[in-house]
Amino acid sequence: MTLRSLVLAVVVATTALAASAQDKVIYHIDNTASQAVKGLRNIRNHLDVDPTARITVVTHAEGVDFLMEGAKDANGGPFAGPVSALAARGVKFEICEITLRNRNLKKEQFIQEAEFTPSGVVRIAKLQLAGQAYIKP
Amino acid sequence: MADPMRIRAQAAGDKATVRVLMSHEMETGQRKDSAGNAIPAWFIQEVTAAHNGKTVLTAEWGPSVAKNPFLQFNVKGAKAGDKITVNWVDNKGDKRSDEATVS
Repeated sequence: MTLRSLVLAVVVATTALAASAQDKVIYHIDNTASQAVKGLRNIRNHLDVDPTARITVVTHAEGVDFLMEGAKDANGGPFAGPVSALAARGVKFEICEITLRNRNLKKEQFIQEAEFTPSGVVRIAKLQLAGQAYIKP
Repeated sequence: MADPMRIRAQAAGDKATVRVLMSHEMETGQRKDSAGNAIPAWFIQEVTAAHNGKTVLTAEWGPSVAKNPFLQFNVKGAKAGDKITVNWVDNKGDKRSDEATVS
């Protein structure tokens, strides 16, 4: 699929969804350092403007780090607070299990709000084909 | 049936720290829906925890506890391999029981 038709598909999908009550959105995070703080802020703003949106955050590679126990941002602020606040508002945080194997991480190292998915990229593809909007912060 | 609780129990010294994340709406009964009708109260009323089958904690909860409640407590004398079971019953009679092994 070309980029153009992909973009078109997403636009069509979002327009179709706008008619229904709930927007469903995927946030894709694969780098904690450059995306996590910005992404969490985007999601908070997203829910402030559209509280009914159903948001799924899919993380893999270096993007899983902010969901680990005791993870801190560049200024030393813990991620656990903002993440659990968003989880309480219905945001799902999913971690790629392939990343766990490649980086030798255990599920117990992650905060309890986190969920797991066999493959981050497969999950994104499936959700997107199910008509969800895709945002990469 | 409600979603499973997420339970983690970690031994440190002569006690274990248990952290439980429950999945529940915890509706207070005070809120109104978009049509102005009161949303009926729906909350966890009773929580119990057991260490190897022996009850170590019971709690009466009410509607003031937030959605998806988090509960943390220490169990004296719990060591790695022990079983921690947590149960809750809500005001509609719905129940949930989950177990974790101390690590």
